[in-house]
Order: sequence, then C-alpha cells, then structure tokens
Amino acid sequence: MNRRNVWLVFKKDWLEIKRNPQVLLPIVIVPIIFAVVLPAIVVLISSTPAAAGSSQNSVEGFLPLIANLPQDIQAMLAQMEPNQVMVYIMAVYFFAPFFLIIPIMASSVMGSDSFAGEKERKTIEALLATPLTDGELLLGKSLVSFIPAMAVTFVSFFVYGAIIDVATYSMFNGMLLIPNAVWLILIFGVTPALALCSIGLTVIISARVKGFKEAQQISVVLLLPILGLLFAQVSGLLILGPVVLAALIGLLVLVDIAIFYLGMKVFQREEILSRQS
Amino acid sequence: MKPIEVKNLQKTYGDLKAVDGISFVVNEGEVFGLLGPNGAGKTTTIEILEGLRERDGGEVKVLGCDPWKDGYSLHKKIGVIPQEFTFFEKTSPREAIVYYADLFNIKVDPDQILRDVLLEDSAKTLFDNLSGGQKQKTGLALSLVNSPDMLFLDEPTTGLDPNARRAIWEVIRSLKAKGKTIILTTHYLDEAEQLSDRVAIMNHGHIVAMGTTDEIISQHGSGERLEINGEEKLAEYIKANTELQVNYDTAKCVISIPLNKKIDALAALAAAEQSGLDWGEIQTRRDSLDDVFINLVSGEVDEQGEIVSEDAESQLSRKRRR
Ligand SMILES: Nc1ncnc2c1ncn2[C@@H]1O[C@H](COP(=O)(O)OP(=O)(O)OP(=O)(O)O)[C@@H](O)[C@H]1O
Ligand SMILES: [Mg+2]
Repeated sequence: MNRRNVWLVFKKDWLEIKRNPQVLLPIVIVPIIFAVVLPAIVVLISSTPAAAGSSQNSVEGFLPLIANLPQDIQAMLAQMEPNQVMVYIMAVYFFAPFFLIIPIMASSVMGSDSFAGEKERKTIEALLATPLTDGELLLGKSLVSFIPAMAVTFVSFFVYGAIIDVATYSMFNGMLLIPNAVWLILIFGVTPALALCSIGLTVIISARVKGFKEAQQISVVLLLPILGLLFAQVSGLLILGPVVLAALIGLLVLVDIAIFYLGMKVFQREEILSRQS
Repeated sequence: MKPIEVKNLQKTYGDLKAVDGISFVVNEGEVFGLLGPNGAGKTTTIEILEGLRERDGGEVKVLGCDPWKDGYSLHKKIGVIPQEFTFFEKTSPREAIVYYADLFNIKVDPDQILRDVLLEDSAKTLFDNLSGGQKQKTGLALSLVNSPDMLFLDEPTTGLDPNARRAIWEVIRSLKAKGKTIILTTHYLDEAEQLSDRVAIMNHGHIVAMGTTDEIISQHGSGERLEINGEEKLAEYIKANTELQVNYDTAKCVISIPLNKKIDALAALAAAEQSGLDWGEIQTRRDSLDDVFINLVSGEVDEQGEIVSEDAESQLSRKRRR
C-alpha cells in the first residue's frame, strides 16, 4: 500500500466532486438544517415562559426517558423548572441521535457517487491499468467519503453546540449544556465508526447495483437503526450514556472490520470490470 | 521470446466459454488486429493480457511477465485504452495526462503528448464537452503517458464518424512507425485491413482464422473469379459449351466462374459471345476480407439468438449502437 497513491486517488475524486455541486449540495444542506433548525426549536421553547403549562405536558412525554437517566442528572432535573427540563432533555438527549444521521447520510451519498457512480460512468476502468492496486483505490475512494462526512459532522456539531449554549446561557445561569462527555464520545467516537460502516456497506452495495441512484436508495436502510435508537431513548429503553456509547463504538468497530473485509473481497478489478449490460 | 505469447487460453463466465482455447503470438513492432462480432471474446482476451482478468486455463506471457501475477509491474510497461473509454467528466485532457503521470510517478511533457495524438486544440476542454473522437484521443494520450512499447486498444474507433476514425488511424500509424507493438480490437474490417500487419478473426471464443489479410483471404476465400451480369440461360449455355465450372446467383443475376487460369476468362467470354444472348457488366473479382469474414462468422446464432447473416457487419454495427 503506497500512501502517495492513496492520496492521488483521493485528490482526483475530491476535485471531481468539488466540480459537481449536485453531489455536495445534499451533504451540506441536511447538516445545516440539523445544526440550525434543531437549536431553533429549543430556543423557541426556552423563550416562551407563558407556555410553562404546556411544557409540563411535554415533559410528561419524556418521563420514561428521565426515569432511566443517571441518578445525579435526575437529581439535577428535579431542581429545575419544567421549561428548563424540557430544554435540557431535548438539547442534550433527544437531539443526539440526529447527529448520527449526518455521517451516515454524508458518507453514503459521497460513497455512492464514488463507487457506484464511477462504475456507472466507467471512469474507474481508466484507472485499473495503472500501477494503482485495488487496495489503494478502495482506501483512497473511501477517504473521499470519510473525510467530508466527518468534516460536516464536526462542523454541524460545533454550530449546534454554539447556538444551544448561546441561546440557553441565561436560562441555565451560565451552565453550558454542550459539550458534555456523552456528546464528545458520540461525535468523536461513534460517528467515525458509523461513517466507516456506512462506507463499507456502500462499497458492497455499489458492486451489486447498476448506478449510484440505486446505491443511495439502498443506503437509506442504514438510517433505520438510528431511528430505532431515537425511539429506544424516548421510551426509556436505552439511554445514550457513556457506557452504552462505548459499547456501541465497540460493536461498530467489529462491524466495520467485518464489512471492510467483505468490501475488499468485492472491490477487485475483475468484479469492477464486469460489464453485464 | 515474443512480446506476447498465448497458448490455449481459456476463460469461462459461469457456463459461458468466453475464450475457448486460443493460441497466438504477437511479434515485436507489429500491429495485431483482433477482429470479431459482438461477444466473440475480444475484450475478455485483451483484458487477460492486460492483467485485469484472471484466466481459467492456458499460458500467457506479456513482455515476459505473467500478466495476472505481475500485473502492477506490467502496467508500468504497457498502455491501455479500455473499450468505451471514458474519463472523469470535469477533467480536461491536459489535466488527465498530468494526473496519469502522477500515478506512474513520472515527469512528462503533456503538450508533447497532446500533439502526438493531435489533441492540442482541446487541451483544456472538460472531458464532458469533448467530441467522441477527442475522447478517444484522450484515451490514446493517456495510454502513452508512461511511454510504453506495447499498446492495447480496445475498439478505439467504434462510434466515430469517418473523419474522426481516420484521425485515430493516423495516430495509430505514427505509433507503429515509432516501433510500438499494438494490439487492436475492432468490428471494422477496413480498420483491421488498413492498420494491422496480422489479424486474428475470433468467433465464440475461438480464433477461426489468423494471418496477414492476404493469407486469410487466400486460405479461407475463393480465388479469382469472372462475374458476368446476365440471365440464367446464358449461364447454362456457357456451362454446356465449355469445361468451366459455372455458378449462378439468381438473386443478383450474376454468373460467377472461378478462374483457375487467366485464359479461362477468354473461353467464358467467347462462349457468351457465341450464345447470341445479352449480357451486361463483366468483372473479375476475388474475395475480400469482408467476404471471408462473413463466411467465417455467418449462419450462426449469436448470444441473443439473432442470426448473424449475410449482412453481418452492418447488423453488428447496428447492434453496437443500441
Ligand atoms: N463479466 C462478465 N460476466 C459474464 N459474462 C461476461 C462478462 N464479460 C463478458 N461476458 C460475456 O462473455 C462473452 C465475450 O465477451 P467479450 O466482451 O469478451 O466480447 P467482445 O468480443 O469484446 O464483444 P464486443 O464486440 O461486444 O465488445 C460475451 O458473451 C459476454 O456477454
Ligand atoms: Mg469488446
């Protein structure tokens, strides 16, 4: 494996994508929505004290979640106004799984274009008769999905955190809601492992489908477990705490290894070439 | 040792024997044409030689290497244009050359290469906006980046207009003049005839004829014959009054007489004159590569179940365009 070659593959794909706004647009827009619209909801809640009664009602919806939170946090919430509880739960817990959608979506959009798309456009064939190895191609192209996916994930996290903190600063008397340990593990531990998983699956899917549209559509399946997490948390079944997240990272790493092992088997020049039209 | 040696090469896809035990050698500095209808196994063969596919049986040596095992080092020494070559849409030919040079980790003069393939005018046009001919020239340019002595060109002119084809031919001729060994696949007989020193005609994974076009024509075609436009009565008259073998094509109203000796033509014409019947145009003809090709690959059912019949070549090109 020659690092220079991996870099060259990455650079080429990246330049190509940069000149293709259709690919970049969705992976920029959705994170912006998450990073700005979700905090806007929180701001809305926090700025309507008259609705304290309704907050009380909404808090009831989160009771199963609250009941399963660690003792110290429950104690802290017990001291708060319903309004504050509502904001806290939403900003810190409820919205967290949304940030798992960003790396999955970004990396599968980029990956579908880079793997299935290039197979469809046949540009990948032009690179096979060069000194590039299959492994270098796979790694270089995976990075084209991974690096931008991580970049948008981190940026949207910073934007989200900043808006939340600024908006809730006075409400919580200077306590910063974000970052906390859970969010840090989530963003810097879970999302990279998740992005890799999604890239590996995209590689495998791309080998089996005709074009990148199909690959993208199938990749949507990856979002189901995330929705599962969201509901599991609301229903109190599973709280995204440090231990759960650590376990999740461990699981994802194992899945990543398995998927990339499979991906390497699928991503071979003879397979890439197969031209059954 | 020859630059390419192939012995009993085999490749199967599932149940399909795409290449079924072919053998040939390519000599240094030669243009070797692989000719055949769709699905004959040309691309499969060429991809095995390039080290992009693993063979199922037989022996292959390209520049002394086993292309599958030593693929990456072989790639430094050969140039390749895949069938239906395309490159990244938003990349210009010049950028593509620079990128390729990076991949091979060498320094090149992109403008010189562009001149070599007659593409200097479109050096900075994005690939997307190039004409079909210019795209193929880009492929040629890329195949030249590592200054290979051996080139594999898979259908370099398919789908191009006659002028663009001729321009590509010109480039290929200049490469041959520089002593490069070139393996070329094509559907076009005239292209094989114009460019190749030797040709192998493939059909259903077999080589059905091989040699220079003259050799193929004399081995598989009929010799010289006299053709007279006229009625069947005239054909019968000539047959009755000479020792000659006379064939009659009722569809075209052509009397065809194989000429074992040139003087046979005189006997045939004398008989025709004697008959008092009318006759039209006369000409002597021998089988062209066209005729031989159609004889060798016709009357068979291709993979789609279509009959590749008398007008095989135009049918083939029609199928390609679909
Ligand atoms: N990856 C593959 N998997 C299965 N079958 C294949 C594959 N590639 C080619 N084939 C089949 O093998 C046969 C030979 O194909 P090949 O591409 O070598 O023919 P060809 O002579 O290059 O044809 P064309 O003129 O259409 O390019 C065809 O019947 C084709 O359908
Ligand atoms: Mg072919």
